[in-house]
Amino acid sequence: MEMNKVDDVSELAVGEAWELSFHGSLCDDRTSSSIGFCKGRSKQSVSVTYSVDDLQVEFDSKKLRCHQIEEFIREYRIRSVILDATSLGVIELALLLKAIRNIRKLKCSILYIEPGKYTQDDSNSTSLSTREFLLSMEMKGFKGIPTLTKPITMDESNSVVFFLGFEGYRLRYALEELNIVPKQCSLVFGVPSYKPGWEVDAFANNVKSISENDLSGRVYFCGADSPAAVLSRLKRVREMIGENDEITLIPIGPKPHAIGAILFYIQDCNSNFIYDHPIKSKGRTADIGPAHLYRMTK
Amino acid sequence: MEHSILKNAFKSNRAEELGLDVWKDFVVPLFYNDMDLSEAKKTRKIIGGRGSGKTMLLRYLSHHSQFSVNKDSGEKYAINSIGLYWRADTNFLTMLIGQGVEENVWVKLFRQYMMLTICLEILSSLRTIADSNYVGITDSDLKNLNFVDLKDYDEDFPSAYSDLSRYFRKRLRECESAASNPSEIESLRFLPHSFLVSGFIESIKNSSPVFSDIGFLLFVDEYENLLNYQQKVINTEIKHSKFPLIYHVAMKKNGMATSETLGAESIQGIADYRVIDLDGLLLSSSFDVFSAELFLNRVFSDFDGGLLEGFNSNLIKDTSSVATRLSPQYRQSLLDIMREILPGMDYEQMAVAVLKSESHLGKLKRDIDQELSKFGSLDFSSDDFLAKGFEKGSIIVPALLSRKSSNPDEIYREFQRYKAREPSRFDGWIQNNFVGCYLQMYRAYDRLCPFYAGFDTYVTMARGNIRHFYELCNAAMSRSDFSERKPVISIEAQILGARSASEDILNEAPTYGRLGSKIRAFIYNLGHIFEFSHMRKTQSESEVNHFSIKGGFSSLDEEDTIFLSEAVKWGVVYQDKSTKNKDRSNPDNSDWVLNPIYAPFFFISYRKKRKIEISPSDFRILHSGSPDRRIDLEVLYKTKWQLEDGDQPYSHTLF
Repeated sequence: MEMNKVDDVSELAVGEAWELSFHGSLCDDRTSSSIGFCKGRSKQSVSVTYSVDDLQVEFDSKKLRCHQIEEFIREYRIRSVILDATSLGVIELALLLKAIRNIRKLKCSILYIEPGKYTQDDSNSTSLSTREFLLSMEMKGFKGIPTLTKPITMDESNSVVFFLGFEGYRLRYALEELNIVPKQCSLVFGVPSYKPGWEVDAFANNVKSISENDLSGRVYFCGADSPAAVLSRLKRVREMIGENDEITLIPIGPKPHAIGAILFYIQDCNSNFIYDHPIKSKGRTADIGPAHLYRMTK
Repeated sequence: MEHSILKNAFKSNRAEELGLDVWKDFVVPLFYNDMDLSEAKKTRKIIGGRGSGKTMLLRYLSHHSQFSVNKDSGEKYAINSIGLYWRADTNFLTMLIGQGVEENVWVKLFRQYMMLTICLEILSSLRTIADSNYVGITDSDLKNLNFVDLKDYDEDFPSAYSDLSRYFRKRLRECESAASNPSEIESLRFLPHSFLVSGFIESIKNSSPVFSDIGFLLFVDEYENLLNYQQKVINTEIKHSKFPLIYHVAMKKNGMATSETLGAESIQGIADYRVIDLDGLLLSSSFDVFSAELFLNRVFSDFDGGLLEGFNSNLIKDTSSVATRLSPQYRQSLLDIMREILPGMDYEQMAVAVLKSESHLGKLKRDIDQELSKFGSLDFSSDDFLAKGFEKGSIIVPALLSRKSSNPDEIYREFQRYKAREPSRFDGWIQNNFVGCYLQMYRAYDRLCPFYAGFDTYVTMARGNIRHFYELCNAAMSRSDFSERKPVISIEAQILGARSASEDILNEAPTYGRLGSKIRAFIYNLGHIFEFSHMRKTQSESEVNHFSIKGGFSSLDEEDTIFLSEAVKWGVVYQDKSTKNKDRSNPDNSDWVLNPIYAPFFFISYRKKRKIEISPSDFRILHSGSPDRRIDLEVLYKTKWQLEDGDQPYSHTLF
């Protein structure tokens, strides 16, 4: 994987264009910028939304079942595509990358713009911790995604890898609701974080679950902006546990970690992908941070 | 006793940590024999929230524990009621919907999936039994099992036990694949509904006399997370549930979204199932004794052979010893031990202790004199309201004097009678006002308040929730420095522990399902209203910690009732029969009580005493209002209760 980072998205891949772009919906300053970039640099641009209620995907207004996505993309007969990971949700990214991987000669790039800052949550009262951010309005909960999800069985060996961010309750919720055993879980934090100090908020918000479940010995770090570091970490896990044991990926932290987890998932037949479907808050971040372009190699 | 072991005794509070075989760890609840679960011929609907011990109970009843290798051969084994534990994998099962496919197609797939899962669980139970100390079924009996009759359903069925699991798994994978690509569903080879009992279980029974009496109890955990149609499928099974396969379902409160079956009938209580309300049973069956046993089992079971004067860890794991454990002598001995480990203070001691502090005493005197000065020249001063041995009365004097209708001469006269130990109105006044006034004294100085310490207090605040009790103990023990042979947790450590556990449990609220974030906002907002009420100088309505809805439950609209139902489901509030119902036109009026576990965080009383009436529109603001609307509501209450702008909630995070 090739990774480029610039301070301003306009400086990214100057002069380069793509035949098609996929993006999600607008929800803050940086998605406005990322969607603008994709639309400006591609011949065609398609909005993608996964519905957790009817488990189908809408490409602009065309509704498809998840297993039909690959065929749909093939019909474009294109050689290059860019995915806006800033605005696309984790599920949309996973479904698209899984489909794209099977299409030979299709070059794929992924754009991600970091937030300038996260919006503080002051919806409840003055007494809330200053480490809480207004990232999600509510959660749909763990619901399987066609073509991505397999059942979890407790009687088989299963290494569960969480990718964690600020929303500590998401780890707690997963440990409560899923058929997983804390002893089999590892945690990955984004260190170095996008900005110095942000990692402290992520640790602080997850520390209770870590301590309660004796997870402190299984905490790992990968650069928050580095899918490659995640990919390499997961490959090491695979080497350690052998090819037959299941690896379950639960990416509820930084988006580049989710990208790394997806890239591993689509090439590892004994991995499972699980997600809790938060509903993003409007204005969850403000200002615009550095931009990244990740180029996939097949 | 090692400090680190004590400090960590309550660290892990979930059954999931222990695995499926909980035979060694299960403490038999005191209501165990009332449940009649293992011999039940009819479905049991087991209701229990987080912390009710539901999962632990189901795992105890399952083959993993009932045929545990840790169970002696001389113990009772029942092969006519082998427990099968099925925690529905809701992450996967919620995928069996939509995708442009009709519901009846998903019904077929779900039934097949469930049937195959149960078959696999039955095979697994036979393996557990053969590996256990039960001598009636051995490994060679499993080898002799013959499933040749299953070829009537499908020629592919292997006839040997050893091959059957792999075969069922293969067919499960076909279902899983079809779930992702629904066009494959129609090409699946569906087994008829009769296969499970008439085919599979009958084949086992007919294979050998050792299996002829075999029967199964299926415990479906987390039923509430199943989709509506999936609940209907299980309800259909419940309707026709009988030996050799009886269905039991476990869920949180309000977890049965539908009582419909796939047919025209519905399932109904009594006729089709009996309800076991674990939350209610825990509360009504000596929760203090059970809590004491849980505590001592955690702390002492690994030490001294589990023996401590009055406590025997073998007794609490024996289903036939429940009656002994309910005896008054046993109860008293356990409570005595616990009150030594988690000491608390009674109100008398609290009052004496607080007035030993010069700052508190000084403030009390100033408050009394300030109130007296409003009445002009009087023949008495604050000193006349202070007397050793009568501190409880002194503490409530400022509140009594601050009331509009108060008569200082009368209060003075009554205090003199009280001091002379004659009948006086102070008896009733203390009963109604002491706790409110006492909390008020601590609020002023933000100091550790002993009102939240003591074993009995911990039991009250946990209110039948095992996990909350563990959280309180864990937080207190982790702050203790154990230097004695017996662990004694200081009052200070208990107060800090209560405050910390209360906050942690509050911060867990976002994990309470879909509306988790709103539920947390609701707890904060409601808690702050109660806090403002506690700040009232007059304490005329002290210890407000519950509410009723103006116009009754039926005056709420759908969104509000859904929210309230979720709040009840997660144990954030509990419903109680309305007391002092002023509005007789509302027979459906209930009291909604904030879970007492939140009391330390908001610095309010955990005793259910007084309530406020909230309009449906204000209720809406409390759970879904914008910050502006919420602040407006707070201002409204502060004005009504004559609080000043500077009166702010006590609650703030420890970190």
